[in-house]
Amino acid sequence: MELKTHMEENALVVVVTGKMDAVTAPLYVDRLKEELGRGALRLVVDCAGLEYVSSAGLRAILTISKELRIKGGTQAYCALRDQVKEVFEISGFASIIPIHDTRDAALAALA
Amino acid sequence: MAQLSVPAVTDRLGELREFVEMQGRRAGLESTRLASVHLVVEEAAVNIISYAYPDAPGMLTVSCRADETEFVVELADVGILFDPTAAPVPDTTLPLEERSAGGNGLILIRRYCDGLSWRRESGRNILTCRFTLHSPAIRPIRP
Repeated sequence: MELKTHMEENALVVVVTGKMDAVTAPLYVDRLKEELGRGALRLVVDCAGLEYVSSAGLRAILTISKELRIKGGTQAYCALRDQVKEVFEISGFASIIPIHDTRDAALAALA
Repeated sequence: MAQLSVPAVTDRLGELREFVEMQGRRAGLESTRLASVHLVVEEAAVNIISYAYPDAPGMLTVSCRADETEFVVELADVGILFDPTAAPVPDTTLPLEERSAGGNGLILIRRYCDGLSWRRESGRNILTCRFTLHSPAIRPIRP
């Protein structure tokens, strides 16, 4: 898994590529906690390059989502591939995490 | 039957998944089904790695077999008794604040296997995951 971040329209865009599994998910938590610690309150997670997510990935996403909520921040995930979207739906995450088809739609939702 | 035994530690997860994926490909599973097998194996193995051996890491054995109709993966450990087919799963309708981090793996295992059974035999937990060959990749989500 690779994580790249940049600012776009006042939001922190996190571009995730590769696999978010039991091995890599802790890295996601560490990196995003660091960004939240630096004051990021508007988060767009671009999943176009995310090939795979397991429950360890869901756990990481939940951890960050709860922390962001406590800080009063907002977030949007976008461009989910079929496998990832299906896992979000089966686990009920699709109804607790805002999901958009494109990065533009996600940025617009946070604007 | 092909079999692989490794110490139940996260570092060996990649090896396990590659082994099962190779066996699944050999059995004729297509890519979306292979992805399901991959996910189930990770979830079941992570449960064993996290909970089966609270004291010192023990072994995890994965066996694969196939015939014309199905691909079967068995995961075995000699750790504490745990039945993934009976353990409670989280309520997926809860709001964000009330969702707990654990249990999602069990939901995914049950959803992606065509058949799932567990037995305790001579001090071993044996989880049998069945994947029907040539079945649709996505089954309707049960209400």
